[in-house]
Amino acid sequence: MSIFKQIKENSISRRTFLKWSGASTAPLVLGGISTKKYLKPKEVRAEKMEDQVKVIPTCGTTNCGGRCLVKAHVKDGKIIRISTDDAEEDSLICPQIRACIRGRSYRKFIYNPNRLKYPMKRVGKRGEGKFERITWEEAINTIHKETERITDKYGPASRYSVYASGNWGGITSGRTMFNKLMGLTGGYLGYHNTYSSAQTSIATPYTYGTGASGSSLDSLVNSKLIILWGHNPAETIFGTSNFYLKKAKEAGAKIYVVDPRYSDTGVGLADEWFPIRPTTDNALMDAMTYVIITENLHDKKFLNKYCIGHDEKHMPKDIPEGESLESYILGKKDGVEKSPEWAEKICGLPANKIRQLAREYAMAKPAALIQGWGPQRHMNGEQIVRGSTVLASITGNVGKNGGWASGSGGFGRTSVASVPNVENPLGITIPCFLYTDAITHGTDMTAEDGIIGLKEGEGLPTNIKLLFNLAGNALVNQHGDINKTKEILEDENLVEFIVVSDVFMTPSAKFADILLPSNTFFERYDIGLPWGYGDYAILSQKVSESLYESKSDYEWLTLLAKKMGVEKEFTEGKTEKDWARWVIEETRKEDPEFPSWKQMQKQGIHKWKFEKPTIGFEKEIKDPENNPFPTPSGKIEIFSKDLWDMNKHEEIPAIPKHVPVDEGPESELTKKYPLQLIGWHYKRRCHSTHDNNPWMEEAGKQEMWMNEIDATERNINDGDITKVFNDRGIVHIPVKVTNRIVPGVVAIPQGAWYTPNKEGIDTRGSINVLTTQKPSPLAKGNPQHTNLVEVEKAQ
Amino acid sequence: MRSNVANPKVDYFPLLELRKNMYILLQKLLSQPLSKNDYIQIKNNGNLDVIKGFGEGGEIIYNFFKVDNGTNSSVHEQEYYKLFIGPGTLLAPPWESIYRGKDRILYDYPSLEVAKIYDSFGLELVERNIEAEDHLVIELEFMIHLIESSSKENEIGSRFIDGQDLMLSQHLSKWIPDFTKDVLDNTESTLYRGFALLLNDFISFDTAYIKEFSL
Repeated sequence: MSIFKQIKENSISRRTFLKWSGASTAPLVLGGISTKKYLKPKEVRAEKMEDQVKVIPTCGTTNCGGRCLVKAHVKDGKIIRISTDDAEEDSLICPQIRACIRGRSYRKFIYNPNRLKYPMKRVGKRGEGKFERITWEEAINTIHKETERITDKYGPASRYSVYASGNWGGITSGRTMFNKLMGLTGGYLGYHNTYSSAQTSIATPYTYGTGASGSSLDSLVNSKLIILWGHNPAETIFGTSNFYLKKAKEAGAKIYVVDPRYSDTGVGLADEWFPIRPTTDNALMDAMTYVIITENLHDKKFLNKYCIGHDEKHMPKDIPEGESLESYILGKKDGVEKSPEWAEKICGLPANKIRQLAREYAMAKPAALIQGWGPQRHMNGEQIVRGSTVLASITGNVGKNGGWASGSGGFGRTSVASVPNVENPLGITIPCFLYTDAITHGTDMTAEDGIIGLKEGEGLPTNIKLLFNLAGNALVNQHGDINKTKEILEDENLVEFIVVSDVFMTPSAKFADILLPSNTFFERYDIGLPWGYGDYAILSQKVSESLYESKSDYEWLTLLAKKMGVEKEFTEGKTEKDWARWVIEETRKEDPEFPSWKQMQKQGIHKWKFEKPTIGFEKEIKDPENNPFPTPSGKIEIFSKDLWDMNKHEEIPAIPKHVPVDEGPESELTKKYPLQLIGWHYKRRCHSTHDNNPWMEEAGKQEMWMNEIDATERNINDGDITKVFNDRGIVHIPVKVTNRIVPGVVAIPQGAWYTPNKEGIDTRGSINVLTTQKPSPLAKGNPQHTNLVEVEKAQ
Repeated sequence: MRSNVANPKVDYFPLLELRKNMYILLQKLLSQPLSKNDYIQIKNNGNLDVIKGFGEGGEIIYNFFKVDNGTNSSVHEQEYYKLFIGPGTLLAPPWESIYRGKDRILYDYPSLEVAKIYDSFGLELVERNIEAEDHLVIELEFMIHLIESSSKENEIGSRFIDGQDLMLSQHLSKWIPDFTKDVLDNTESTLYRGFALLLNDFISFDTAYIKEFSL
């Protein structure tokens, strides 16, 4: 038995032990190597060690709809607790801005031991995930060298910053500061659209001339009926939507949800759920229009005064007969009446329910059909968007208090000053969803592919050769067809250099050549604003020092700017804190009611108060002479001549139509892959943020919803691990068997981190293994809800 | 005061150097991946005879440096990253808060507690937020500091001995066994398996040992 064991078991006397240790030939010696010291003698200070708890108001700046007030309780520089808005006033004009479960779990985000701590450089193949630690100096030097090399070789259009929303803050995020830095040094390839709203942002203006079709949500207390069409604010937290929907309900509004799932919003707020199959919304809308027109429930006065395209008498010049909405709906040209019976076969909602929905919507004066951004994230989502605007128009619900013009519902009546940026001298942008195409064959892509800023017939000057992926997971995880993306990025001859900054090693971060540790919003200054519906701004205050060697994107981009010789122009002499203060002081100049810097530091949040609602298109409806709609005709364009002139009548009709899509329920592909797959925004994540938060896993585990009928057919029981697959990949995921989803449809909540096993099968349930890279026809947007798959029990 | 208390002049002070160097060795192995240079230094100039008797871990470490022929340092470096640093999910996160807190996050109550202990001995972090106070490297550094400070005292029951007892019995011994298990469960590297076993055995030994001398 060893000496040591004997001591432990007290089976040897101390004297014997001492004799042994004294008898060792020489003392334990390591040969003179030193270790870094972490402790030092305390500096002499007047006060004792901090026992006080400071409460500092701040907010998160991930891409969350709420951006709510979060109060950090700080003791000795450490956040020991999180609380939220507990203001006394919680009224219609001044609601509390309370954090949801994501906000309340922020300590597990900032103090997750797996945070990236040091700059790292790749060793091994790209995407393998093997890195070694380097200094910040080496990291910046390498980034600088590679940027210069690639710019010299291919030109500045080879430089691209991937769409990223992990830091959707207001002032100096990596996304916006990349633009400034590259804009100052020759330019870059930019992007337009987002992964959130491409189809609706592009399509809504074809009806109204603008995407700003929303109203302030306090108007909803005047609605008699609210239809939440693919809208799930109970989970997504769309600004202050939940508060106002509850108020509307209290005021007597009926709430319906139209959704393939009986979402949490449905459960919590709705009087009735109208289930439909994904991608068939236009069939339902067409049938609703059919009912409304044939039963004379449409607002003829409104249509004739404000719209064009609704009937043959109100069409633009030179359009052949039979192209009006009425002709289409009544089947005058194609012989197909868009009746509820016709629609029922396509969308699954029974005909009598379609009639009920149509009549109630038309007769509730006013009614608000609010479309979320889920319905537009489809293969021809543009039709679904246009369809909603048509319904709003034929019922006269545009520009009315308590009505809703539908479409993208863009709204904002408050704002703060914007930090100055620099225009891109190249002036070229691609649709963000086509970034991998621009890597493999950018020079072949033209305006036809949705690229803006090119001359006629011109292709991109170069393929993308350099990627900056700052605070985002759309490099891999959130982009379509992960297996295809992986292959493209693994090829070092295509993209020659990838810089990634993030808080964690996400599936995207794995593809970095240089991987930089980002700090969190608790560790820097920013301004937080909600997605549209919320009259507030929050100072996202620095609460604690950046952990380890993490830096904000602004901090290290400043170091890079210095190397590139443009530090002064880049920072304009300001730190992030200076910019936050600048925004507040500039805003105050225009709006003296806005708090001062000192006040904002104390209160954290500023809530604007408006005595009455702001109604979208109120001016255009009240006084059309002086306030025409910003469309070519000045009217609401149910029929759009601009769309007609594109001459793609099948895919991009001039009036919204039901257009069967490649992976919809009417497709041939259903013979091979009979189930439709959608991916909703889960309450326990903010996109892909918080997938590694154990509290959130408890609140909502990663599982796929499947209807009882489909499960039974496949011998699948609740909780079984299933194999979900199509031609693009395979995913293993446990299943929740439920009647809260339409038969024929399965749903995997988006944002789970791609976690392939040795066979290349994803084991976490990352939906983008199964989605496509083929963009929507008009906006070139991501159709991530349109997929066909089959499901089996996993072996 | 125990009736059969040892005579510190005979029992505590002679072992002081040995114990201190044990902590230095453990700290060295944990603080960064083993570079080729350090490996050669220890192999050629180090004397590790005494740890040969310290259980399985001691033997493994001794053999690793003194018997085996050369080592593939890049393999051990990757293991080091996977266990203690990242990127990716750390397999053996070396903070007391992880093992004793409810949520397996940093800056839980143990970090506040040990920060207070350091403070009571006149110490603070060189750089705040560069590392949490309850990282194993810092807890080991603190033990070294206490041992060194105790060498200047002459009576038993000095506060530096009490401090060691506090750190060992109320902190280190409460999480090192679980930390060791995580290392052993997650690596094949002889270097780090040896390190974990040696750490666990030595902490267990030292916790019992110091009790003899504290009040």
